[in-house]
Amino acid sequence: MVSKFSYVLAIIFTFVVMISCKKDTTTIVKSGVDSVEEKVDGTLNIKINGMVDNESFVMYNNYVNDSGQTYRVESIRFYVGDISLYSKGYENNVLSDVNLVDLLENHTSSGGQELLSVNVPEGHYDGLSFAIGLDTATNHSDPSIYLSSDPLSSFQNTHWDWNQGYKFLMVDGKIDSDGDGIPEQSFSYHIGLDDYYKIVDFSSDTFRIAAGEETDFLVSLNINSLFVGVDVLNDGFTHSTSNFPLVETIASNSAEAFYKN
Amino acid sequence: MLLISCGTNEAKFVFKIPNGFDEPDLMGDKELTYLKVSLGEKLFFDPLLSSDSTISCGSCHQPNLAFTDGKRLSTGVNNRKGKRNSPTLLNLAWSKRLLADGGVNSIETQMLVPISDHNEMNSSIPQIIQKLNRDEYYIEVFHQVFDRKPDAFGLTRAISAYIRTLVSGNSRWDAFVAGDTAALSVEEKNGMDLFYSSELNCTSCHSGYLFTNHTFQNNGLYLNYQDSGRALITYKSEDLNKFKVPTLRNIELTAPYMHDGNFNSLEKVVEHYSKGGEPHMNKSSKISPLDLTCIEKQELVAFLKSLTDLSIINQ
Repeated sequence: MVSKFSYVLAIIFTFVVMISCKKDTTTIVKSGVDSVEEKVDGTLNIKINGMVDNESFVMYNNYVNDSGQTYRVESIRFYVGDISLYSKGYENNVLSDVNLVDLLENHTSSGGQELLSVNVPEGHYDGLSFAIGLDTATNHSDPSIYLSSDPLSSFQNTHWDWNQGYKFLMVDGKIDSDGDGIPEQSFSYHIGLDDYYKIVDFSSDTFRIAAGEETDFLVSLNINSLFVGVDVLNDGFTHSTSNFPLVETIASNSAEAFYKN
Repeated sequence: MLLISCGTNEAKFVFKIPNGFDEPDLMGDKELTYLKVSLGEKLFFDPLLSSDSTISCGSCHQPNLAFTDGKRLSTGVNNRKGKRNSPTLLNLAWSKRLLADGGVNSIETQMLVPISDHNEMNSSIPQIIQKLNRDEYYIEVFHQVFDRKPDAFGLTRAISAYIRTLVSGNSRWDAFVAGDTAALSVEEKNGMDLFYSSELNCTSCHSGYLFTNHTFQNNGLYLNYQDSGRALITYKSEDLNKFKVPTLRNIELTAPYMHDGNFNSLEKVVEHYSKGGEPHMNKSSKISPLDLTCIEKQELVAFLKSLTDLSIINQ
């Protein structure tokens, strides 16, 4: 009887805890101010699109880069890390550490691939930023500690085992080598290493989160911009073990290739 | 989501620390139990880990050769040649960085390298986990040890547990240090005196109870190397062609020597150091011609052979 009573009490307690957790509010601490303010949440949806200049990117389609070379991308994946929200008077708020984006399915028609959907306090925001890459500690973590579905798991095939680090950006495809307009020569750019962690900054793109409402923050990646200053035909390979000027060019391009819609 | 290491109620493995050795880190998911070690041993010798199920960890790390393979370069699936000589796995519980270039810092992450290397096991974690989950024995024992089905975490923790039990500290030299003055012959004692002398300065790199200072050095093996060594990890020119200083324990059993197995005998190794090696730009300043006599070379080799621990072979 006693144990039955305890069981009922436990259920009631759990229910109360669940109810209190459902309240859509967030407590945040103002930078430099001792007071604690409670605000009602709205939902921020950060979405990402693949584009090639003004058209939607489609995997395996042929495109022409700024150097006039015809190419097609057969795989493009990258880590988006440290998504941070900016708001005057408030501490920068890191919303998410690690996301692995695969543009195999590019959701331009449905308004972009959802990167993150998170409740944030209502109000005016000055913008956000994210990284293409992983912070040093995460980059050198052990992939076997993560569940197979985790973006950092060995199952994602994004880890350089020999150097205990992750590939931040992986772009593989083919380039036309004989001028017939048909890409047939492989290229492969796998960018990693702590030195090539790049910040994509949208800190001047202000937006407002309304209480109880959803707000989309849509960013696009222009694939063509990845190849600016790169001779894909004659310099089509790096796995970040050599040719570091090329690694730096592509890493820097990746940060510049994003824009807000 | 980060997996939390689960505790087990299995009997704890009795880990015997040799005299003079530090206490290794066996806390958390490094904790040893007999069942975990036993599972790790089974996995270590199971060719299931390779893509065509022909190569196991034990193929390149054989117990009778102090967990090396006796080959200049290791052989992987389809007789593919690796690029480096197989190192001993003994006493890795005390090792700070692994691989000749120090690219990884734990046994758990080290084993991922041969698994995915096309010239070694040519496999992948997803492929191995799929195989293990078809095997009733593994499914049952993984549940007993880790309370879940076979996964990357359990695989790496089990094999690491087994490797950490590969301890060697019972050579005749150890007996001599412990007070048995008759454990070494006169020739071996002379070799030991040479080894520890300031003139030869061998201990500037081969120091401590593991006979290594865990640094990366160039010993003037070549002027031009095929292997970048430590620079492959650090990308620094000052690390070009530097390799991890290996332990000298059981060195008699781990021929051939150097990162690429260039020398097939200890006599040739000693001869190399006697001559002082090639003038490579990154060669250690501690290596210079020693001009050893024939007797001195023999005595050094004799001393090195006194570091052999036969108990590990008979284990």
